[in-house]
Amino acid sequence: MTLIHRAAWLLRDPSGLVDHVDHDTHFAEEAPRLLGLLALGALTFGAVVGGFRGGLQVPFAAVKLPLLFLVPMMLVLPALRGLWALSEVEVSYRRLVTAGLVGGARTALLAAAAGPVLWLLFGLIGYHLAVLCFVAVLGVTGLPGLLVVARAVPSGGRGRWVALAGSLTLMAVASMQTGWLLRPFLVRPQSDDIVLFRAIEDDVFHSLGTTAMSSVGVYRYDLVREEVYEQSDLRGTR
Amino acid sequence: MDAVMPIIEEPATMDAATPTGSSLPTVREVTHGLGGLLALGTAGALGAHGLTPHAMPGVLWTSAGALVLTGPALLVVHQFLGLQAAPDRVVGSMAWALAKAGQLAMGLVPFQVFFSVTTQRGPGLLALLLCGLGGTGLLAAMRGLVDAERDAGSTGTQLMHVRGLALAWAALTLLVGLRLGWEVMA
Amino acid sequence: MIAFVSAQVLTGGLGVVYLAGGVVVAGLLERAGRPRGAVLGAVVAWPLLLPLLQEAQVVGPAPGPLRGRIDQVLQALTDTLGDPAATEVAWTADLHGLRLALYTADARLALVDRLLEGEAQGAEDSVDALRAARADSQHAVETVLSEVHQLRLQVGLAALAGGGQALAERLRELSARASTLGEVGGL
Repeated sequence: MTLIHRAAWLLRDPSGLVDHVDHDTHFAEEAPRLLGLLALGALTFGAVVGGFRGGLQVPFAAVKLPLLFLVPMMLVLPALRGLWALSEVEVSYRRLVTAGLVGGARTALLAAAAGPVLWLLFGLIGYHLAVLCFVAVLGVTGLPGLLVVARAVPSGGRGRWVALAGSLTLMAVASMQTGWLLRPFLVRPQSDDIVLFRAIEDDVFHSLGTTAMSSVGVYRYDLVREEVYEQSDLRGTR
Repeated sequence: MDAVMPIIEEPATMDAATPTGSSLPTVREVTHGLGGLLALGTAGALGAHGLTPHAMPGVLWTSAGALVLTGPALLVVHQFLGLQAAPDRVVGSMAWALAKAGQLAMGLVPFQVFFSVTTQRGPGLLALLLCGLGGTGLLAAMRGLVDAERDAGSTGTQLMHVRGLALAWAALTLLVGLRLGWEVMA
Repeated sequence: MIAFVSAQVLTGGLGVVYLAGGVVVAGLLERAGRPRGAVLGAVVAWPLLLPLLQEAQVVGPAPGPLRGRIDQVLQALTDTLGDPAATEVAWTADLHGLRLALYTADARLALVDRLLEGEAQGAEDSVDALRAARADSQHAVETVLSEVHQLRLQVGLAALAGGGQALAERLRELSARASTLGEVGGL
C-alpha cells in the first residue's frame, strides 16, 4: 500500500515528494521505495520492449531497462552539484539524488503505462519503426522526469542557462553511451542471435556516424548483415 | 505549464552574498579543487587505449597553470587601470573559480571513468570536459571580478573597464591553457 | 603508455569494482543501523545512497546539560528548512556539522560538571577558574543556539523576499564558530 501511495504521490505532486524525501530522517526510508518503483516501472517497460522478439529477449530487456535509467543518473548527478555551484546555486547532493530518483521513477512508471500502446504497435510495424517508437516513448516520458530535477534546483544564481545546458548535455551523452553498452533491447523477430550484452565494439558516437553516412548512401562492408535484414524487410519476409 | 527555468539572466542582488565575491576560499576548499582537477586527469589517463601516466597531472597543469601564469598580469593591469576593487577580491575571484571548477572536475570523474573504460575516446572527452571546465570557471571568475568592482563602488566607466579587462584576461587564460594542454597531449 | 587493456576487460573490471563498492557501502549502512531496504539498494545503486553515509546517525558524544535545548533548536530549524515554502533557502550548509560541533561542546560541559562534582575541597583557585571557563563556554553555546533560532525566523523572511544565499552563508559561519567553541571556552 505504501508503494501505491508513493506512486500516486510522485505522479500527482513530484515536487512535493522531493521536498518530503529530502529531509534528514525521511531519505533513508523513502529512497529505497523510489528505487523499487523505478525498477518496477522499468522492468515492466523492458518486458514489453523485449516482447517484440519474445522468448529470452523479454527477461533480458526487462533486466537491462532499470540500468538504462539508473546508470546515467549515477554518472551525471555528482557533476551537477559542481555545475550549479559555478552558477552560484548551492544544491545538496542529497537533493539532486532525491530529485533524480523521483524523476526516474516517474519516467519509469509513465513508460510502463505506455507499455500496452507500444505492445499494440509492435504487432503492426516493422523493426526500424519499432526502434523509433521505443526511443520516442523514452523521450516523451523522460521529459516529465527531467522537469522534476530542474524544478528541484533552488532559484537564484546567475548564468543558470550554462548549468542547465551542461546538465542536459551530460545526461544525453551518458544515456546514449549507456544505451549502446546495454544493447540490444529490441531484437528482430527472425534473429537467432539472442545475447544479454553485445561485445563492446566502438561506441555510440561511431555508430551514429556510421548511420549518418549510411543515410547518404555511404556504406561499410561490416554492415552487410544489416543489409540482408534490410532486404528481408523490403520483401516482407519479416 | 509554468516555465521551468528563467532563461533570462537574473541580476545579482546585493543581499545574495555569493561566496565567489565576498571572501577568499579556505585552504581546504582550494586543496579539494586541486584534488578534483588531479582526479579528473587521472580518470582521463586510464582507458582502453592504455595507461598514460604523463597525462594524469594534465588537467591540473593546464587549468591551474594557466591561472598562475596569467593571474599576476591581471593584478598588475587591474591596479594600473586604477580600478577600485581591493587586490584580495581580485585574487579571491580567481581562487573561487579554481575551487569551484575543481569541485566540478571531481564530480565529472565518474563520467570520465565510464567513457575512458568503455570507449577509446577517453582523451578526446577529457579535452572537451577541460574546455567546458575552463569556460565555466572563467565565466565565474569574470563575474567575481565585476562584482568586486561593483561592491567597491566603481563608476560606470570603471565597470566598463573591468568588464573589458575580465574578458581580455579570460581570453588570454584560455589561450595559455590551450597551449599548456597541447604540450601535455604531445 | 604503460599497457594496453581491452575494453571488455576494463568494463568487466569496472563492474566488479562497482559491485565491490556496493557491498562495502551496504556493510557500512548496515552497521549504521539504516533500514534494510537502504542496505539492499546500496548493493546495486550505492552512489545514490551515499548521502546516508554522510548523515550517519549523529549519536555523537555523551549528552551534556544542553543536549535537550540543542536538539530542540536544531529540530525546529530542520523542520523550517524542510518546509516546501522555504525552497528559496539553499540549506545544503552543514547542519550535520553544526549538530556535531554543538554536541561536542555540550559533552565538554558535561565533563567539567563531573570534574567539579568531585572537587569539594582544595585547589579553590583552579576550581574557580574552571567554573568561570565553564560559564563562558555555556554562554558561547547558548549564544550560538540563540543565533540559530534567529536564523529560523530569517528563513521565513527569505521565503518572502529572497536572500537565501546569505542565509546559507550564515549557517556555514555558525557551523565554523560552533566547531571552535572548545577553544573559545578555554577548556
